[in-house]
Amino acid sequence: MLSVTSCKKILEENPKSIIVPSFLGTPGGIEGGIAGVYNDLRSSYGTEGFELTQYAGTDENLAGVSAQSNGMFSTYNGINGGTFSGFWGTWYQDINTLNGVLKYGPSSGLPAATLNQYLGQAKFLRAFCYYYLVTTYGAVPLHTTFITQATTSDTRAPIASVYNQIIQDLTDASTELPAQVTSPFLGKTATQSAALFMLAKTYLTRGWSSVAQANDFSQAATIASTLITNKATYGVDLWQNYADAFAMANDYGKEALLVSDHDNNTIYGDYTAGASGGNGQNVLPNLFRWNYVTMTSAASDNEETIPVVLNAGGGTSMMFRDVANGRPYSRAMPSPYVFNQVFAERVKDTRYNKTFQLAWIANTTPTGGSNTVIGSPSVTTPRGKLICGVDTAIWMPGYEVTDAQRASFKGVIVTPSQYSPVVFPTTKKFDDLTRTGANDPSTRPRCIIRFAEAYFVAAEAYFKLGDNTNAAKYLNVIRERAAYDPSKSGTQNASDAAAMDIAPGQVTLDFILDEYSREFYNEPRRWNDLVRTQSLLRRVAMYNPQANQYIQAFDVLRPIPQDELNAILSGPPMPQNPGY
Amino acid sequence: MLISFNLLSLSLFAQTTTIKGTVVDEKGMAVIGATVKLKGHPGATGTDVNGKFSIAAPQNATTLVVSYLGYITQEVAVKSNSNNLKITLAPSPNNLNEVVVVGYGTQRKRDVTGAIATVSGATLAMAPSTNVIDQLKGQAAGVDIVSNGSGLGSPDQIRIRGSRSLSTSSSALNSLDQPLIVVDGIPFGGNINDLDQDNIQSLDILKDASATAIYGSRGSNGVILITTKRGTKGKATVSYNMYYGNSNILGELKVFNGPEYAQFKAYSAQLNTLNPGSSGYPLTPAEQAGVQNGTSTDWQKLIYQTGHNLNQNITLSGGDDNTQYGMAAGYLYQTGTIPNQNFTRYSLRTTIDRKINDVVKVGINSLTTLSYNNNPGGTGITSGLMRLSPLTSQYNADGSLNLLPQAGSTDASTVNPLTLKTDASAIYSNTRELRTFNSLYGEVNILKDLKYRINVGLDFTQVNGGNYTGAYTYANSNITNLSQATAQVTNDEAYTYTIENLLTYDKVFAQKHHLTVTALFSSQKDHTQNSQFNGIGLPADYIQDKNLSLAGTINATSAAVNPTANYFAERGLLSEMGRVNYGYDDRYLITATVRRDGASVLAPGHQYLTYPAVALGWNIINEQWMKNNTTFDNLKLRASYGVTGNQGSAPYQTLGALSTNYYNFGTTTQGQSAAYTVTTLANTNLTWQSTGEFNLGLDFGVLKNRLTGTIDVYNQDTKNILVSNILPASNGATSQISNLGKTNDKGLEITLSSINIHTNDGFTWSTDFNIAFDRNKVTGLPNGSLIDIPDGWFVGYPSTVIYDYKKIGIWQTGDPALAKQTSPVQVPGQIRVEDVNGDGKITPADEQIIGNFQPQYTAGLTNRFSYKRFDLSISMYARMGMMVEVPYLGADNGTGGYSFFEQGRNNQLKVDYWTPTNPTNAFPKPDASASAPLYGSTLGYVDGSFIKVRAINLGYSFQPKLLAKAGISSLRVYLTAENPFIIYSPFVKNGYGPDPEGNGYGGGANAQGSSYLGAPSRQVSVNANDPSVRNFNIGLSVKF
Repeated sequence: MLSVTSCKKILEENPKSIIVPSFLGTPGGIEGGIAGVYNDLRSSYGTEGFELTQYAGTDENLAGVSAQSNGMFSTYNGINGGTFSGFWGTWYQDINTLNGVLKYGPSSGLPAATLNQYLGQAKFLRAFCYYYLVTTYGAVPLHTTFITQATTSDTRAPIASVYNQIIQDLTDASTELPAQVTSPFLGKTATQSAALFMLAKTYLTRGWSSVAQANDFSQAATIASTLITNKATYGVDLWQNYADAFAMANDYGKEALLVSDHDNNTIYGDYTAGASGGNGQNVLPNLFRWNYVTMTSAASDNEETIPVVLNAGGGTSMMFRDVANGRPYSRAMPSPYVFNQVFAERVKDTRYNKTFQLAWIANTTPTGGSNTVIGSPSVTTPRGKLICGVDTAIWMPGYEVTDAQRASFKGVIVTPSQYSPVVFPTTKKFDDLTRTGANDPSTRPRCIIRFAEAYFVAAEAYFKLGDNTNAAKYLNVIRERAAYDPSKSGTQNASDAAAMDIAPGQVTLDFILDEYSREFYNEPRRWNDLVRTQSLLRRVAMYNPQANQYIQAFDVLRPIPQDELNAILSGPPMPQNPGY
Repeated sequence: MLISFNLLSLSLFAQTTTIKGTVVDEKGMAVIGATVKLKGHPGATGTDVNGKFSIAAPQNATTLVVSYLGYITQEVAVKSNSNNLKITLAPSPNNLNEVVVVGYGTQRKRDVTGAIATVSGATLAMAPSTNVIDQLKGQAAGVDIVSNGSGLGSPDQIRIRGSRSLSTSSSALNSLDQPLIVVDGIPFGGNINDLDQDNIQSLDILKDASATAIYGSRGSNGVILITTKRGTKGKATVSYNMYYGNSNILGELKVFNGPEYAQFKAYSAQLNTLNPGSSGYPLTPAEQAGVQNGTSTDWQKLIYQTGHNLNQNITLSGGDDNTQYGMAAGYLYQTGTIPNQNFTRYSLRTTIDRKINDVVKVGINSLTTLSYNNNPGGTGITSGLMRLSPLTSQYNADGSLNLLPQAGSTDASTVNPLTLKTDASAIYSNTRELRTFNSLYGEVNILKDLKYRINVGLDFTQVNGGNYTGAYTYANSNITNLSQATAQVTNDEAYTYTIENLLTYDKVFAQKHHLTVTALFSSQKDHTQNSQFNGIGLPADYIQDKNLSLAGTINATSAAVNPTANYFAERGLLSEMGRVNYGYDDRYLITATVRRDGASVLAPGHQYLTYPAVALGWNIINEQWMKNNTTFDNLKLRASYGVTGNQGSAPYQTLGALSTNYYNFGTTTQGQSAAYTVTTLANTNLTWQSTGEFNLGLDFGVLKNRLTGTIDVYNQDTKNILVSNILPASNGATSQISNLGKTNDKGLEITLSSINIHTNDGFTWSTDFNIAFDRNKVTGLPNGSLIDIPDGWFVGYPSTVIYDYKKIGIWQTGDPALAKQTSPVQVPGQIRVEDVNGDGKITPADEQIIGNFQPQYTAGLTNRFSYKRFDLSISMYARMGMMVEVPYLGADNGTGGYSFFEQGRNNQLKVDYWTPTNPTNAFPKPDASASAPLYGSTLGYVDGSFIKVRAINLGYSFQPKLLAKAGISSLRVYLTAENPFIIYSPFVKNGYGPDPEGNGYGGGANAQGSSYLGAPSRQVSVNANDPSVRNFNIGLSVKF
């Protein structure tokens, strides 16, 4: 028979392969909890489902031919608490984890200076989460203490309380965080500059909102302009060349205030070769890319067929899918507004050419690890044989051409009148040439806050204060930078920059919104800009023929996920946002 | 066993004649020791070792009565000069003296007070299968077995008397609702395929709480007791069993052929809702050529092949009064219908029972299995084949393999599935499992009636897995870079030890009082430790998984991918049990049981619970006043109530957990950090889930036991159900395991056995029939709420209901109702769902209960025929009146893989879809704008009812005389058809697939307009997995 002690022992639990919550009370747990939230940000930023909610259904984008979910987010047709659920749970899981970090942190035994920085991270991230929630859903539950017991009730706190909490956390974080990135939170994690930026943006956002306080815009203007003034202290600045803001080498450079890291390490980077999406996979480069493979040599004979029927009439594909040209998802295409108004100026303003890929160079199908060529090494159109790596197979000049011009071009020309949900200029800001496979997700970080935005926050706040002089001043910094092209002469750059300047009288809300588009096109964020500035309905009605037949006033708030409402099983039921 | 001999006595009457004859069984074998008497005359005799008898008969004797244990008593007309009678006995379907295994002991069937079903090894042998559980299909009332996988040696889902638990995950449900399997007294976890059916003597299924209460905390879901064969007294006998045969698929999934596919794609562009006329997935130039050439490739046909089965088992058995031994060796080799799939199993069995002296007896039973399972490409081959374009050819014009048949399309990287055959070494997946299951016992007869027994069980399993997928193969479509070859190795270790101390007191007082007392103290510990590593970028295909250090990167599989890939868990159980069986005069029976269990997985302070049970039995047939009844040959009433438990919760749930991940701050290794988020809240109150069950049963036999039957009704109430309840996400964690739910199951089970025809020239037709009805409902939810939509539980409804929009057709052109629906705005050809509240909007408020996955009833019917040396059995089973989820009909783009109708991107099942000229209400229009049709989930629920012929077995036993010269005592050859055909299935009739039985779990689409997954995510579903097969085997059993 077994002895009594060994009997009792058999009923004791000694976990060896899981991490239990008390671990949050250790230094490693505190750091890990913060990293856990950054990791969750990564599972939102760069993924298709999350980015979709940021860029779709705006004045900038129409549904591409492969828009997901029936184009629901592009059209607002059928959005409700059931169809919009994705990220709510993640943000609240993060908030609770941060509440745990803030609770256990002081007793974790970390040195005071270190602890302060860690708590600053936690407060920044908590504010960041609540900022997303309050701007997306309106009034939301507000929890600032660590929840350890399961409950089935919850209530929505007033919007004002949520904003107050965000401002409190960011105010703390803006002093507790280090001025510049410090180990162990390397890369581009939150620093004082990110906290100040978010603080300014929060004041700006509240200023527009129903719970606006009298000094919100002046706070926003002051904090943003102070941040700009002290940029050297924080090691942040604009690149001289707009294109450098998107160069891979500068992913962690001076213009990035906060990024969500991606890495080709399969453990630390969540990376999976060939992944089509999902947790932590950055597919941002794929979303705005048309399927260039479906353009055939025969299609080019009949320009009329290009807009809608690809692969028409046989022939061979003009292009093969490769790393350089990327993986096409065709989720969204630029609306005519983008070409006609945002990027009307394409010479002095270099941002059009730095935003879009407009030419596709003939390539070969890569396979077998090396550059073994199988199939046809090049493509022949009725106008001649394309030399791989030299000739342009497909070209989108951005203007209409004559038949003679088409006849003298070996490849295929696609003009603006031929743009369609299947053929359109591709946003190239996120291209990642370091990938090993054409279908691999990107391992570039997703830039969440770019320093250029501080100028916009300042400009927008001054505009709201009626100070168009200062508004124009900050916009002109951005516009002058946009003129810079290293291939131009110094004088040319100077005169183009001067020509880009606007006068205070030109500053209107629409001008600011157009400028946002020029600067940030397809850096997914537009929905929030339009909602904040109370311009969503107006701008969609003006520029988005797909969505304007469905959008309604209530669409400026997203519906509370039905899961959340259904899971409230005690206490008062949680009300849905009106209209849904 | 020896009762018949008690009746033996020699006739002392004056005799005028002698009647002689031979008694044989249904197989023509001599019956030794059968009782032969003359009706209306005293005296009897017995048959000798050759089955021969001789009895003195008075002149007026007309009827000979032959009886034998386990056989139906046979009356034969005789004449005074009958001296060469041949009497064939038919086996009795209901033998009251048969010994039934009841857990920690055995009982005569007549003494049993609980609801117990017994299936003999012979019955199982009718449909040879790798999986013993599979053979139970349709064999016992209330034992519902459904296939839940495909491929070789896939397990089954077993539910006894319905499901009691509430869980949102299929794997958790399986551990909560799966019955306890006990082999030779020792709990048997893990892979059921480790049991060689040839080693099985019988299965006893304990169904009601009084029978299962002795298993206390593990009894709620019923208990399957498996008894393996042991050595028998007598001279050494050798027996050899084998079968060989073929497996062929039941059928292909009917997909669009070339022209139909081209038409489907054309419609999906034409009917594009957002951008009419455009499609992101037009025909590629190669496909256009295919249209011109009339190409229509049937990819499934190119891959599926005939599989083979070979099973052999040789057994040696014998012994003397003091020692009995049994040894067996088995070999099973199967090949699948998918190229290079195969399963090999070697099994060894040794049993020794040794009586050391009059006091002490010891024994051992050791079962060792070594198996290899090759499953290259996994079980999802079919879904890939289904999607391939029929317009491309498997070969290039020059006869070489067309490696990239989808070139030029979005899915250009799909590699030709024929690489499964041509590049087999680059698609490798092997699991090697070694299991040794041992039980030892020692028995001490302390006193004449008091026995002490110790059972020690050690069950050890070690699994090595290795797989490799080379780049540029069907299994790894990474065509750009060989460095994307992946290899994986796994090493899983599990052991369980069980120590049981048993005291049994068994005495008959004053001839009428039979008392048995059993006391138990036992402890059990389960241990699991798993590791799994992956390598990416192997230098050459031939390395496979053999040297991971050559891989470019190596990592351990994360918990996010597979929570138990790298895992450690231990759980302990301490038990005390007492049982009293008391029988008075074979008429009144009472069984009382108390068990107390403590489990490590529960919260301290809540670890122990006591399980009481009591059962009463009344053998009415043995009452004095029944002596003259001519109707009943057996009549017994049983009633029981008991409480049993369920400790299915996983270890460490009481501690809470952080989900673990990793993050890299920046790009340098200095920025690498572990990343935690709080995902599971601790539950410090976790306690036992328990089921109280009342059972009322009636056993009867009429017409000289030619018709016997059992009727049981039961009512189960389960409380403190371990619910992984969904919490409002805003509270920080989305779920927690709690003891919160309540369910009720009511049921009726009827089992009938009859000998329909039995003629003296040896023709017998017998039938076994069973039918079971189980009605499950949720009776309580957390916080007194009545509905829990996220989990799909509604008080008063089964836990298996489907809650979704209700499809009421397809929107037709010109329907005035279409304009009235303001949100979402729909167009003709889209799925029309019911607007329950009539507000003109389809919102989650319009979702409703639209079906149930639980069958209304399950039934089995087995007919056996024998004539002279031939025997034939046909077994059928049915599950009726339930829905089944078919993910490939309703999937969105997430959980179910590629969706049905997705933008006209891929090929798919051929269905009747809407077009302007085909205004069907069956399936919606193809729509190149939609990744999944709006409300597509509603397409995935179909009627899953079926009646199937499970097996047909035709045998012939050779005449012993012919065999004797060769030293063979018996020889039977047989043909078996397993799964030969389906009698009834709306699913098959509608062309949704070849087999309505399941082959996986979940995969259901999210209801559109709701993220609810509910029941569909945790039920057995019909996926486009490896195809179901039909087996034809030829076999022989020979005994020397």
